[in-house]
Amino acid sequence: MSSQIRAKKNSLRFATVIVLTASFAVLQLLSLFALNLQNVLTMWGQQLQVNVYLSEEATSQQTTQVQNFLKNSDSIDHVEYISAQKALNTFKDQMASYAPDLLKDDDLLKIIPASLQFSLSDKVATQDQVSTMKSLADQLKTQAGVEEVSYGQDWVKAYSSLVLGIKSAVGFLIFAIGGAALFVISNVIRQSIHQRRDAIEVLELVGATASFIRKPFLKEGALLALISGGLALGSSAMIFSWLQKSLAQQLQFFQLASSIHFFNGAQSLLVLGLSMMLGLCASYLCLRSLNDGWAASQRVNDRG
Amino acid sequence: MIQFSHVYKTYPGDIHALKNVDLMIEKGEFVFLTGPSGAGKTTLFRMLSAFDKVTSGQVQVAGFDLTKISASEIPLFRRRIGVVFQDFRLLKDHTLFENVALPLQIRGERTTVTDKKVRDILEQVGLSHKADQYPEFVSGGEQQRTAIARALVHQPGILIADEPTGNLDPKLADEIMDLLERVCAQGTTVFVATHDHDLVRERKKRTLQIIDGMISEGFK
Repeated sequence: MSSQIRAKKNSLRFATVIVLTASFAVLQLLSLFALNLQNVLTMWGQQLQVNVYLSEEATSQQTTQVQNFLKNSDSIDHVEYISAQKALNTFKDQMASYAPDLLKDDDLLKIIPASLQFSLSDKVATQDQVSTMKSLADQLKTQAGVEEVSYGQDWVKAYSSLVLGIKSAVGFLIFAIGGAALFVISNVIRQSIHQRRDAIEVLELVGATASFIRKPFLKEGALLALISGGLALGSSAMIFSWLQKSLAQQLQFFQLASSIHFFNGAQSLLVLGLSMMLGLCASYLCLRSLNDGWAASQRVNDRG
Repeated sequence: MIQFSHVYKTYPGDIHALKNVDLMIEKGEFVFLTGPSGAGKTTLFRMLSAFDKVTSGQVQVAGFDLTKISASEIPLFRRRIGVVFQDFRLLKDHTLFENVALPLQIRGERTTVTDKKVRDILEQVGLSHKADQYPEFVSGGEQQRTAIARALVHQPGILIADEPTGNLDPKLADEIMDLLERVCAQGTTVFVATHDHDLVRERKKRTLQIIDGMISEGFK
């Protein structure tokens, strides 16, 4: 192989690694965003609480019945009884500095009812939280002694839409950028096949099977993608660390610092494995029609 | 070993490259195929090395029916023959040794076996001392000898050579023909296409002549 061809090939490989590294870095950062967002939203989801307000006339037997109903449900994590007195005290504590005059209104304070408070168990998936809460609320409303059930319906619906929207957007971006990466790798392999057309003909001539001829191209695609995936992982780690430092105060304020993580060891290996698979797939797509035993002959015939 | 029965090859545009070709070459024979440029020599060689399909008729080579051969059988068939071209077809980024070793590597031979067989065949063609050279740094004759060594290293039953001396001076051409005769003497069927009439006259071997796609025995 002349040094000119080798230099051209190496420069093409270098350019490919750069483009792939950038594409993979974007993919990995998007995945990290989705992953951490999922963590944050799950954490918020776990903080969602349902309040079952008991009517003024509710007997202690009815209250126990509602409590038992809640305790027997697999979807519920922890049930707490808040007496009217306790609710009143909490309300007083919260409002003392904001509206001291309000605390003097005895009639208003009398309407604060006793309630049962619970949150959903970890077993309930994020996407199932709304439907589970709604179903529980509907069942609770039919129980004797229950005045009203409140679980921040609007907030939960908005939260679910947000999760779904962000997941769809990230999924679409990953699909689009993954497709672009596939195209880039295919292009390099196609170029490589073109440059090694004569060598392929010689291999066919001496009886090489299709798989023997394809193997080096598959290896090249997988290796390019693996190297790019590794470089992208390093770049993503640096960008992630920089973002984490830059946003440290905000994360601390929203108590999110402990929920934001980079890929762990297994996830990093998975990312590298997926990069390699993408390289293999792209190469394979190019190679499907490369050699059917008559490929070189076709070229010889065209030439002749 | 090689049998063509009523073979026709027609290219698009109604170009009849081969017309009713019948020929039979027995095991261990040395046969020349001569004819002017465009007569159909190369077409016939493409047919018998599975580089092209016939339009009609039957081609049997080394036990394979090339009119019915499947794509997956072609590599197996090519391992049973050796092919030499006028333009050598060596891999430029491989040394002479590596070029010759290719057919054995493809078959998955062990490195020690490959090493020994390649050294032996390079010895036979007189290129042991240049085993580690790249093709662009050796002469045309040496490149052609390398191509012949590559075609023979896996001990095929048939050696097909299309104008193997076409790019060589008369002295080198003689050397190559001597080499092919030695190969034939060891039991390999050798079928050589050439337009070098002097070379054919000197060697006094069976000669087939092809003119305008039709084949005849003997040399005029």
